[in-house]
Amino acid sequence: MGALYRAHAARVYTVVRRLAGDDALAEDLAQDAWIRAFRKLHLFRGDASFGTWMYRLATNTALNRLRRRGRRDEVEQEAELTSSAADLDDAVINQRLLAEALDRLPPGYRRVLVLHDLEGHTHEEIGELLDVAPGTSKSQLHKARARMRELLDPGGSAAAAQSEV
Amino acid sequence: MPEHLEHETLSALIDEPEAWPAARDHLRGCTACRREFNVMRRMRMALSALDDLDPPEAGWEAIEARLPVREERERAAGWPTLDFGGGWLSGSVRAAAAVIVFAAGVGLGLWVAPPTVSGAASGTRAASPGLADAGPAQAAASPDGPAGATPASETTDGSAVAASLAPTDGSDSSVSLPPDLPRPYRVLYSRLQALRARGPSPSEVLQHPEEAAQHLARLDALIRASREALQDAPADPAINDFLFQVVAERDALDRALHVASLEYR
Repeated sequence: MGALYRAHAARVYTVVRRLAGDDALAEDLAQDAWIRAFRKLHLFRGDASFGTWMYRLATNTALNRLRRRGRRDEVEQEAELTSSAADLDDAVINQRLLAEALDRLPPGYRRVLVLHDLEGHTHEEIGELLDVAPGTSKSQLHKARARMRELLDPGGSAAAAQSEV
Repeated sequence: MPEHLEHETLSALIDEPEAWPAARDHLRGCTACRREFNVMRRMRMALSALDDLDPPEAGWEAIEARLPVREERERAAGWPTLDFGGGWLSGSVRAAAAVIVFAAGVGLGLWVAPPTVSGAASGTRAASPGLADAGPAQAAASPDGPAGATPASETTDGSAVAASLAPTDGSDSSVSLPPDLPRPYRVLYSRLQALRARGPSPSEVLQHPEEAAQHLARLDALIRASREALQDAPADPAINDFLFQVVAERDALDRALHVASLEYR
């Protein structure tokens, strides 16, 4: 079992960490996903690689848990918007700043952005995962990207646009 | 369009430029919006290129501690000290039955008759001293094989199959297991050892794709058999442990095959 864990731990942890936006919560979610996997291993049919099966299970586990947490976190997250990137051109290629901005997104925005832009899911797939219409996923994605842009350079983009009117 | 484009519109233009003709026209004539569009497009590309994260260092220990069958697994890991006199084994009729079915499945995994490939004619490597390189006939005569046994797939009596799969001399040269270990478990682990000994290493996959494919089929048979056994005894530590090992091995081989296919292209 340890071998299976070692082979896929980074992929599983990455997707749940991005969805959770928080280290402690991500650790908890990853543990839940692995325990579920070991309990359900006899259901693994072998028609996809174990990594694919595990990735789906981890994503579903994380999304279900996050959904149950409700909107309380969204309020907390909104209040935590603090630091920003001084230079957006650097920021967009700076992984650390990007990851920090991602963590500061409201959870609903973050889930759609992670699933679409980081994990490569379609809006139809996201709709099924989150139990929303594909159009809702699309709308949330554009709001999420706009919010990311603001987080990376608050006021900067508006000022730049104003100066060029 | 006198106003600058909203960021949400710019985001939509990234994914579906054809769906927003008016916004696209505005973008052509507005330097500020074009700059913002490029920034957002770079941001989207950078997001998709974010690296995987390192999991917590003690991640596995924390998970293992939460597994409900941990105590049983620990007992199973200590093979030589297991109390076979009256503990969990004798009390678990269903698990024993599952193991017998499983042992039959393990036999099936090795007895799956892949098309025998002539090494000289096909370019495959020379037969290793493993169990079934030359098919069932030689397997039956091998030290850890079922001498004169009926192939498991043709047998309906699970216990008879388990017995027939047992080492004929009561020992097994490929694995070091305690002498008082119940026979089905001895068979089970010796089968895995034998299978491992004859499977191609990842570096050999490209050179011997036929063997890799055959090995994959054997591992699939083992997974099926162990899964069936687990339906009767979901918490059986030995079968769970075995399944984990086989799945890990199958996954590693699957990845190696995938990499090899990419290199071939």
